[in-house]
Amino acid sequence: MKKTIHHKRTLFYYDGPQLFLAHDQSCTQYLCLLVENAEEFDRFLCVPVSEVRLREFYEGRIDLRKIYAEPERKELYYTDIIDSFEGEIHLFPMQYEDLREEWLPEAGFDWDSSEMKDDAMIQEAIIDSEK
Amino acid sequence: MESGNHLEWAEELPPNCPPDSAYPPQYDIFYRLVNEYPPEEKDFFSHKKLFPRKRFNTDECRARSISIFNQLDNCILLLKLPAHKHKKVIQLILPPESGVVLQTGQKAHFSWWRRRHYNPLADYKEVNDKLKGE
Repeated sequence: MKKTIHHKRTLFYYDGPQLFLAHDQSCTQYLCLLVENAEEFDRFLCVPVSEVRLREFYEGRIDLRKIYAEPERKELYYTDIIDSFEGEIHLFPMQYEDLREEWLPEAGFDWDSSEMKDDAMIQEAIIDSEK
Repeated sequence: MESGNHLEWAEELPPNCPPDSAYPPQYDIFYRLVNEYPPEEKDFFSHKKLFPRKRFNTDECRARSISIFNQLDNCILLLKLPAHKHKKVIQLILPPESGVVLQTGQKAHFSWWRRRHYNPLADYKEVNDKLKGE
């Protein structure tokens, strides 16, 4: 089933968004990771994440590979962004079994060691997870 | 600041770009990913220049900058991401004439608007495994 999400925050930027947080109409949150830089679009791999898992990520207790390689709901999507993040982003389901190794981050990419963390964002995430 | 002057900047910039808050580096050390050693000129092109048909998820001014980090660890971590796994790290010590920089996004991330006459290909260092501490 096709889903739509809305961009909430870009977590890592390098010549463009690498990892962003989004949410759907039922407030389920998704982490979307850039996996392909094509000529006319950027392909992102998106996985639903619970508040608990998101908080674990922000606190450096779970690395990014595990979030994608061991999704909580065995649910994965991809999206090709050809326009902007404004408005709806359409997600297309993919089979977990079809997940290619080259789309997975290597082990060791955890938020805590990245030193990319933004204190305000962490506070926001903690407040969100405590709601 | 002479914004939008394509004779001054490496790429044609929109009005009021770079922002007034951007400043010339003072031989500060930065790191960037390149496709191969030795790097090529296109390793220093903005994504807007590399992918002109793409519409970008950021403002035009930032889309015309290139990303650099002031922490080596951050650049090395990027090598763990799918879109960057096969890239290499270089070090740049940017002189004032190289352009202007501004911290944007993550703490260690800077946007760099390069001046037309600064050639980073003559001024980079490879960051090999030894320097990375591997």
